[in-house]
Amino acid sequence: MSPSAMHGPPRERALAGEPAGVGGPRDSAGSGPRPLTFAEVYGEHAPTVARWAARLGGPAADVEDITQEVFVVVNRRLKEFRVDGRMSTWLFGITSKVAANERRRRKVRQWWLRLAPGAADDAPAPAEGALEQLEKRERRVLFHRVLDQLSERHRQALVLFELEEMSVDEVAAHLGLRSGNTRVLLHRARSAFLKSMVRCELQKELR
Amino acid sequence: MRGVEDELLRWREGTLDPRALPARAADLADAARDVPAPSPMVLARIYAKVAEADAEAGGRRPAFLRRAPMGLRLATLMVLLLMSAATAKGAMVIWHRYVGPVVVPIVRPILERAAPGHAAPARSKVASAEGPRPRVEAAPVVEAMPHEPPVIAQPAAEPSAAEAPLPTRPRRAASSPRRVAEPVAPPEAADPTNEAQLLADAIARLRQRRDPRGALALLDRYAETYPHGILASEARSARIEAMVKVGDRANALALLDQPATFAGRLGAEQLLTRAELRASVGRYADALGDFDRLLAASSPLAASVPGSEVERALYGRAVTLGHLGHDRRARADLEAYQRRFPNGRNAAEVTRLLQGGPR
Repeated sequence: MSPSAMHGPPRERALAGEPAGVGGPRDSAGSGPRPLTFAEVYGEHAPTVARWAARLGGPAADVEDITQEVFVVVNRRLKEFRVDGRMSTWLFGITSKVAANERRRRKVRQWWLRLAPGAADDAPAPAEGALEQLEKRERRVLFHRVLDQLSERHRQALVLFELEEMSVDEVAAHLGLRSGNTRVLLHRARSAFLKSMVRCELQKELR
Repeated sequence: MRGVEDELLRWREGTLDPRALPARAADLADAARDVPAPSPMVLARIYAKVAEADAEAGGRRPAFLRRAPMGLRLATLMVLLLMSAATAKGAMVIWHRYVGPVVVPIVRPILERAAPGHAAPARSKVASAEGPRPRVEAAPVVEAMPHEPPVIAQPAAEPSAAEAPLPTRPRRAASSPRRVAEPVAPPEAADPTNEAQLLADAIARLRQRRDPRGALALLDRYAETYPHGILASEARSARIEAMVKVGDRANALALLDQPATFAGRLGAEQLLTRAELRASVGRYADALGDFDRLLAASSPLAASVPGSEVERALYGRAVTLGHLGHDRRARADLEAYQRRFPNGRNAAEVTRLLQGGPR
């Protein structure tokens, strides 16, 4: 597969273009969705998975490593994927688990070594002015520090709703919940985030 | 995409006050939302690494399992585990049956009951199940002994069948203090409970009901059912006893003469019976050898021979010696008999022989 072939569709399609219940293209006979090959899945979803990895993993996450691990799992279990299922939901589940494992390993490594660089040190620097770059990096670090205080479910809901800008129904589909439950989950997650943010800001000011 | 229709508004859409908490949260979210997209080169590198990892993982597994579903892999694992367990079990069975100890644990208690100085297992079962052991008629062997013992050369004193009473005391028929374990039957045929019960029935038929022919029929069934039973030695003892009682002395003697009978190690009871049977058919020299083995002070059998059998042996050896012309030794045995068993069953006959015997 050539690198150009791995470029998937635009982000909008990857995020919202799939109707629920359809995981792959229909075959020529029109008899139903045919199983996707790994190359197709990778070409269509790799950028999305990499973005999820960055947003779920935080500034210190090794996005490339997480993405690779996700697609290793996808390659191994692609035959188990139901053709009529939603591919992005399946991929998000895998990505969130891999990212959570990576965060856990990073915490253990930081605790063990005590020398690991801080999350802000690894944040990629956008090509902007130095001051603006520094401020944005600090805000990003603070956002993920607050997210680290929340549960995994609240983190997933906030990332999908606030960062990925999905609708409530799409968030519900990705989390495997009903819309009503998703609304309740988002309310609680946002409330918990704000409380935690105030706490982190106070701590930052007291320092 | 945007949830304008949702009741929930995103932080960045919810408030205009920059000092409000949602606005500050929206500011943080904006910063976190801005992540660089991976370059095509990065995506190509990730793809190559995934393909490499897949090749490595595939090389470690058997080819038929690479694409096998998880259920098939689990089933294969279970089959392998079961085959391993079956192999181990089979090896254990083969070891116990052909290599390990001959006596299987289930029959060991029965063999232990047949320890030296105790009755045979089947007999013990009869005794425990049916009350006191019945008095058993001794083999009427002496009836057939020669009527004219040459030792006591008095025609009037010939021991006739009527005059030479049979030793009728109870005797212990089967057990030998040195008996070894018989070859153990295969597990499918060796049901010790049924085997012992069958033999017990035969012995009860023989000694309580005084039905030696019925006992022989049961013993035939025993031999057919348990050709290598753990109580085969006791069964042979009972068979010999029954054969003697029905008058089939020739076959009884033939059975006792077989070296394989009782694994070549006759107990005191079998040895005494054989000596008497041999004497009854005129094989005095052979009979004398058996009597000597029974009565020799150094013989390991001597210590275990009960008094009743010593009495029979002394009398039988005296008669045998008389037939062989050993008058002095015959008289010595008769005197010993008279001294040790003054009220013995043959005391009157012994007295008569001694009084009329040659000087």
